[in-house]
Amino acid sequence: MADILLDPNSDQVTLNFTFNSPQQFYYSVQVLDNTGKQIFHDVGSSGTKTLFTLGAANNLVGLMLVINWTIIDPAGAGNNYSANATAMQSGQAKNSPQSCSGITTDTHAASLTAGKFTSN
Amino acid sequence: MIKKMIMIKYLITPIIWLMFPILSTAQSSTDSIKAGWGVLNFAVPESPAFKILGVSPSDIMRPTTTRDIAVSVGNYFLTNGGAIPKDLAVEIAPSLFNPKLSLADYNANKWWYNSTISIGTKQNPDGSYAAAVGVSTKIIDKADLRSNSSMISFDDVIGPKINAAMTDETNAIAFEMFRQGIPYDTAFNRVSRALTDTSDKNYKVYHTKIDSCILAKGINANSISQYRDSLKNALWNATVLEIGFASLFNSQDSLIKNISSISQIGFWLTYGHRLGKKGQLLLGVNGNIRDTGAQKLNDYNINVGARIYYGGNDLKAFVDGEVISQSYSEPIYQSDLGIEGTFFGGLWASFSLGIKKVDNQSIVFTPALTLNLANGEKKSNSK
Repeated sequence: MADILLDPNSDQVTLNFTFNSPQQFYYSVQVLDNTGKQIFHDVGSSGTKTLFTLGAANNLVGLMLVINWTIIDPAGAGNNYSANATAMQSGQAKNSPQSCSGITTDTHAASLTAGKFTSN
Repeated sequence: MIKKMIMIKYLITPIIWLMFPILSTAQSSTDSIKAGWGVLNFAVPESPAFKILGVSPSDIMRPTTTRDIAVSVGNYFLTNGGAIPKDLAVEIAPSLFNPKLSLADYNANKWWYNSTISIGTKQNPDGSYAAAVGVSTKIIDKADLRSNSSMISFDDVIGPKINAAMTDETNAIAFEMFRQGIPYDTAFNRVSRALTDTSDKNYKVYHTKIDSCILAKGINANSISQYRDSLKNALWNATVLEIGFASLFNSQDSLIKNISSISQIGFWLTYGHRLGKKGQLLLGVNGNIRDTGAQKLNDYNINVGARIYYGGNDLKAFVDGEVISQSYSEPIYQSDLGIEGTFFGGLWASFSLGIKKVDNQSIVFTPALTLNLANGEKKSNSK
């Protein structure tokens, strides 16, 4: 689980999804505390919602970001898929983007990425 | 009933006998027979440069990054200077210029991403060299599922449901680990690795749990592939327009600086138009113009063809006509009537009865039976 380094004194944290391959991506974004309590939950897709506002940075430090990815390729199985979700503050990308990649199947592919918000 | 069977036997037997001599020679590889046009040669070649060179390279370089191209070209010139390679075969897909190609990007410039640039060279028997460059592209492709609104909408309905079920299940798996004393961040880290690493001991376990959860919520994930297959079947006659062209240059020796101006131009066009649910009209034009001796680009041949299909993806009847026109000989006219079908998912067969006429000569009867082992996919339109 890679750390997502935030500036706690800076702006709101947003999560920006970008897609590097021609598939349909569906995702749920969760921010959880260390007891599994859901602090934030929202869903989106490559065709609809690609930007999420997670909240103030100082409220996120110490929490986990968990993204469940579902990938469907209209063209079918055997193609490479790749996408990123990058935490942003004041328009600047923070380190450790959440990256999912793999090979498409006849139905759907599944991936999960997780990171922990920390501060410098 | 028996009388009827005997009649059918007497009708079929002579046709089979007539076709038998052709059967043995008409069998062909998937390279020479393209779907849609059958034995008529109107399909746009994937690599027009190789077609105009008259080569079928077995080893084609397909660079995956622009850096690959730069390094290969740099290394070649460092080693060989300004010499033409003896047998170069390169295919470049324009998508390599945009490695971060999303579905939205793809659909914004689909024709560009469905193009192929081919470059080839060869050494002629007399020691001279030939180099060719070609481009092929699909201007229209209504059979492309990545831009099919029905397929996209179907996925947009089922995708979020699958994702919600997956989220519930991965949360449950992490919670179970947490109950056993494993911190949440470690638990999600393990789930993350197990879902994508096929060598992980939990790869199958977690995927099975997620699939069971999806099924328990009444979601049929297999409906995605079933819907895709039904669309493919319905789109056998979708409208398509493909074009290709290539230019050939000669050089009396291996020096790039001695390459002459264009000595041959080849072009290919095929258009498929949907005629209701069961029909398709195919139009094709191809040809080339070349030098003869000292005369520049004065020898030509042009082929024009049309075919009409009626039926479905598995079985359809066709009627077609073709005119082959050449600068130094009489035109050839050909017409066929036949049926074409796919069997056992991969065997493609075509039966036709044709006539051929060369100017003042008498009409020649040309029956044909063509068998082709396809790759398991049903044949689509003129690709």
